[in-house]
Amino acid sequence: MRGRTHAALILMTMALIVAACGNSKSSSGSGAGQSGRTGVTATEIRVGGVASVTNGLGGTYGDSFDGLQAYFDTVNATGGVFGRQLKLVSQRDDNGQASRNKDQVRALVEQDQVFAVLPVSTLTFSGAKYLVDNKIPTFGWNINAEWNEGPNLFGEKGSNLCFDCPNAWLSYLAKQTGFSNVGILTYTAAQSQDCAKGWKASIDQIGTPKAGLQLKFEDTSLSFGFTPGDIAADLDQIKNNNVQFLATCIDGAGSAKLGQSFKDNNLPVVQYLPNGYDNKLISDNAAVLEGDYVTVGFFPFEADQKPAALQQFLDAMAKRGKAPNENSLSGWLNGMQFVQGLKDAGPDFDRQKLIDAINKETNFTADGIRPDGIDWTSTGHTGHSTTDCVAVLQVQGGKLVPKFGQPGKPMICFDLNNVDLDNPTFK
Amino acid sequence: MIDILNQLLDGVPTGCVYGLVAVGLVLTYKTSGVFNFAFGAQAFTSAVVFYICVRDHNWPLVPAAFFAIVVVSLALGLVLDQFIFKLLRTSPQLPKLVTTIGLMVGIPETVKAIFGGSTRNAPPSLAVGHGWHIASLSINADGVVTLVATFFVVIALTVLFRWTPIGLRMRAVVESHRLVELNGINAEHVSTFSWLLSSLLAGMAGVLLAPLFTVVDSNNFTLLIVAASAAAVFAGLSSIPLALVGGIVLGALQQLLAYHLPLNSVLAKNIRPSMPFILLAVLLLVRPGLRRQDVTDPLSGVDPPPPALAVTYMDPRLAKINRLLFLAFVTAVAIGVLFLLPGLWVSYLAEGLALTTIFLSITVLVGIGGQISLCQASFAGLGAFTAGQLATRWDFPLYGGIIVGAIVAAALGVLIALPCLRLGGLYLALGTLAFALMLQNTLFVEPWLTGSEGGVDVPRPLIGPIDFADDRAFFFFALAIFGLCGFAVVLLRRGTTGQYLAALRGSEVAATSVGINPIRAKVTVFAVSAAIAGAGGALYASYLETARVDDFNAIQGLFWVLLVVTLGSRTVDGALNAGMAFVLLPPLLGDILHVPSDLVVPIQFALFGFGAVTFARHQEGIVEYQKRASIERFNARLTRWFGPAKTRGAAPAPPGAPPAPAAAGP
Repeated sequence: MRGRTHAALILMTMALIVAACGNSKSSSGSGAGQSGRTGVTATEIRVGGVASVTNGLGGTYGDSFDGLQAYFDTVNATGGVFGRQLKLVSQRDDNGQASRNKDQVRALVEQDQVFAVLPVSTLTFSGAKYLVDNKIPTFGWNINAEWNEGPNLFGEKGSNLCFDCPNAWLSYLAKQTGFSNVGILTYTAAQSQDCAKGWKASIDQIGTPKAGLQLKFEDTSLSFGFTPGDIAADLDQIKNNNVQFLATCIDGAGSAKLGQSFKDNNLPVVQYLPNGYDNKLISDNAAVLEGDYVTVGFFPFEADQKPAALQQFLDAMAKRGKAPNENSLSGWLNGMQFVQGLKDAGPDFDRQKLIDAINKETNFTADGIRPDGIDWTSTGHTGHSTTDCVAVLQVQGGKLVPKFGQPGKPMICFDLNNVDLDNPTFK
Repeated sequence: MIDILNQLLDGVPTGCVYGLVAVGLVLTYKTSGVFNFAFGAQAFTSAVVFYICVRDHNWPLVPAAFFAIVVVSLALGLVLDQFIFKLLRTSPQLPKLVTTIGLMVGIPETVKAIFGGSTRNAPPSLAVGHGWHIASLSINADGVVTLVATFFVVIALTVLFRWTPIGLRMRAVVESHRLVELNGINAEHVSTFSWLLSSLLAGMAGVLLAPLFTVVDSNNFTLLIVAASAAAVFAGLSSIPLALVGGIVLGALQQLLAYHLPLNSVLAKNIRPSMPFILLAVLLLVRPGLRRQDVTDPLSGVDPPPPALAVTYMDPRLAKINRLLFLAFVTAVAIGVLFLLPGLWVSYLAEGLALTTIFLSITVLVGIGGQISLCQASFAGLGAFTAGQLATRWDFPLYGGIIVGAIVAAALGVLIALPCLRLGGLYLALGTLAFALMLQNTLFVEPWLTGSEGGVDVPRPLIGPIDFADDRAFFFFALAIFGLCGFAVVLLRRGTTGQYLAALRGSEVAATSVGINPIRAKVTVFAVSAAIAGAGGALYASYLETARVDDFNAIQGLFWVLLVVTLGSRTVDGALNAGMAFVLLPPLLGDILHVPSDLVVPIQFALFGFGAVTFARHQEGIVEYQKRASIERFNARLTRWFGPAKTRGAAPAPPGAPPAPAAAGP
C-alpha cells in the first residue's frame, strides 16, 4: 500500500510538472501536428468521413458516403484534380453517439491521416471543435448547431442553421390551398423545440397578418417513439379545434405513425413532413401520407427540367444501383464544394488555402442544384439569409410531386424583409 | 363520465401488452426465482424476425408471426433456459440480476450484429383494416388484435392452470418449490416449461408491440420491461391474474393522465412519459410486502462472505516484485503519455481515466455495499451538467464544478437512498432504474440544466497558470482525480463503514444485533457513490468538452454497471480495467482488427452483455478471478524454488479462508 501511495504521489507531482510544461491554450486537438498537405500524395488526395450509419432514428445518413463516392468516381474518370485521384479512404460510423463522434473524427485526422474530412453526416457533431482547432477542411450535412463554430466547416446548405427563424412558405401554402387553422406538434428534443419556435414565429410574424392563419393547437411535449396512446389527447384537440394543417418537427417514421392515427380517426388533417424527402418512406406509407407536404432547399429530383449537375448525380446513383436521397445528395454536394475549393486554391493547395479559397466564394450553387447559392463571405457561416427559398412537394399516390413552382423553376423564394405572398420569385 | 370511461378504455390495448409482459415476468420469477430483465430483449428478437420475414422476404403475416412467436421465441427461450437460467436457479439474487441485465444488453446487440443495426421503420402489423368505432369510442386495428390475443392468452392460461397436470404442478412450484420436489415432481422440468411459456409470451408481446412504435428499436422494448414491471410489482411478483389486471390498470391510468394533463405543459412533457416509472417507484416504496424477503431457506438471509481480494493471497516476495513492476509500469505509462504515444491514444487513455472515475462509484455501491444501483449514469450526468452550468453561467473553474457536482449528486444519492433503504436486490435495481428513467424524462429535458441543442459546454481545467486543455496535460489531471477517488474508495473499504457494510452483506439481522446501524451505513455508501459518480461525470464531460444527455442516459448506465461487475466490482483496478475496456475496445476492434465500423458498437456491447453471464461463476469479476489464479500459481512456484516465505501468513490460502494480508490492494 505504501509503495503504491508513493507511486501515486509521484504521479501527482509529475502531473503538475507536465501540466506546467505543456501549458498550452490549444484544445484537445493539439496532438494533430500535421502539415497542411497531410493526405496528399503525387497521385492521390485522401479524405475520410463519418456518418451515423447505425442510428436510433432509422435515418439513411450512411448514404452520404455513396453520394460522395459517386461524385469522386465522376471526377476521377476525367483525370481527378490537378492530376490526383480523389480517394475516400475511411468511412466511420459514430452510431449517433456524441462521445463516439469525437473519437471517430479524431481518428480520421490522426490515424487515417486524411487531408480533409468529408462527408460528415451525423446526428451529433461533438468533433466539430477538434476540427476547428486543427483547421481541418470539413464538409457535411448541416443539421447541427456546431457547424457555425469555425471558418473551416462547410455545410451543404451553408453552415448556419436557424431552426427558430420564421419561414414564408407556410403562409404561401395556406394562401394557395385555402387552409387557415394550423397546429404545431413537436418532440421534446432541443432541435424540435427550436423548430416549434420557428413555426410560431412564421405564423405570428407572417401567417396571421398576411394569410389569416390561426394557431389553433400546439403541443411541444411529445416524446420520440410515441405510441398511438400518447397522441390520443392530441387527436381530440386537433379534432375539436378543426385543425386543417399540422406543422410538425418529427422524424419520418413519426409522421407516418401520425398519418395512420389521422386515418384511423377519420381526421382530414394535412401534415408537413420535415423529414419526408425520402421516397421509400413515402411509398411505404402512401395511403396515410397522401396529400401531405414536403419541402427541400435544393432542386428536387422529381422536377421536370433538371440542371445538368442534378441529372449527373441521378445518373451516377443509378449506375451504382442506389436510390438517390437527401443524404446521398448531401455527400455529392460536399464533394462538389470540396473540388471547387481545390480548384480555386490552385495546384499548390494546402488545407488553409482550400479553406481560404472557399471562404471567398459568394454564390456557390453547385451548378444549379441549389439555386439559392451560398455566400461564404457573409451568411454562409454566420447570420441568416434574408431569402427563404424552398421547393414544395406534395405526396400523391405514393410519390412526391413538385407543386406551385414554374416549369424549370421549382424553387419558390421570398424576401423575408418584405414578404409578398402574391409575388414570389421562382428559381 | 362517458368521456372518462372512453379515455380509460383507450388505454386498455396498451395495458394488455403491459399485462402480457407482466404475466411473463411473474411466471418465470415464481418458478425459477429469476426476474427476467431479458424479456424485452426476447420480445425485440421476435419483432425483428417478424419484420425481416414480412418486409424483407415478403412472407404472409400469419406464417411470419407463427415463425417469430412460436419457432424463434421458443428456441431462444430453450437455449437461455438450458445454458444459463437452469444454472442460476440456486444462485443468490445478485448473479441472477446481473446475468439477466447482461442478456438484456447482449441479445439485442447480437441481433443487430447478425441482422444489421439500422433501425427498422414502419413495423408490420397483424391488424387488418383501420379499427372499430363503437359509439364515441374508437379503437385502432392494432388495439383490436392486442385485445383478441390477450383474451386467448387468458383463456389458455386459465385452462392450463386449472385443468392440466402441468398447470397444477406449476401452481405447486409457485407455492413451494421444495415441497413439490419432496412429492417426487421434477421441479426443474416445470421451471423449464414455465420459461418456454414465458418466452412464448415474450415473442407474442414483441410482434404485438412492434406496430405500436414508429420503429423497431431495442430501447423501446427495454423501457417496456421497466414499465410493465410496475404491473408485476403490483401483483407482488406472484399472482398471474393480478399481473394482468395490473397491466391493464396501468395502461388505462396512463391514458387517462395523457388526456387530462394540459398539453404543451411542463407536466405533460415531464410526467406523461415518466408515468410508468413513477408508478413503479411508488409501488416499490408503498407496497409493504416487497420489503419482506420470501424466506423459505433459513440461511437465505446469510450470504457467505466474499473471498478476500486476490492481492491478499500474495507471497511477500511476490508482493515486493509486484510493487517494483507496478512502479515500472506507472513510469512507462507516464513516459509513454508524455513522449511516445500518439495524441489519439493519449486521448483514449484520458477518456478511460475519466470513465474509470465514474465506474469507481459502482465499485463503492456494488463491490463494497453489495447493493445494485442502475442510476449511476444519472448521478454522473448531474455532476456533469452542474459543472457545465457553473462554468458557462458564472465562469466557475472546473475543479470547483467537480466538487459542487459531487456534492449535488451526493445530495440526490441521499434522497434516493432514504426511501430505498428497505428495498434490496431486485427491488432496489428496479427502483433505481425507474428513478434513472424518471430523471431522464423530467430533469434531463430541462434546458436550464442540460442546455439547448448540443448540450452544455464544459471547459478543460485551468488551475492558476496551469492549463490542462491539452490531452496530455488533461490525462494527468484525470489521473489525479482518479487517484483521489480511488484512494477514497480504498479508505472506505478498509474503514469502519466498509467493515459495517461487509457485516451487513453477510447478515443484516446479525449486524444490527451487534450495534451496526444499517441505515447510516447504507446512506453513507449511497452518498459517497453518488458523489464519486458526480465528480467522474464532470471530469468525463470536461474530457468531451460538452455534457450531453445522450452520454448519461439510463441505458448507458446499464452498460457501465455490467462492465464493472463483469471485470471486477470490488477493486479500484477492476474499475480501471472496465474504464479502459470501454474506451479501448472500439479502436481495438475497428482500427486494429478491422471490424466494419457499423459492427463495432454492437459487438462491443454484445461482448459486455454476454460477459456478464460469467458473473454467476466469478462474482469477484473475471479479472480478479484470473488475478487470483495467477497469484496462486506464482506463489506455488516461489515456494517450490525458494521455500516457504518467512513472513507470517505467506502461505497461499484456500479461497474463502481468511487470508493474512501481505500486501494491501487497491
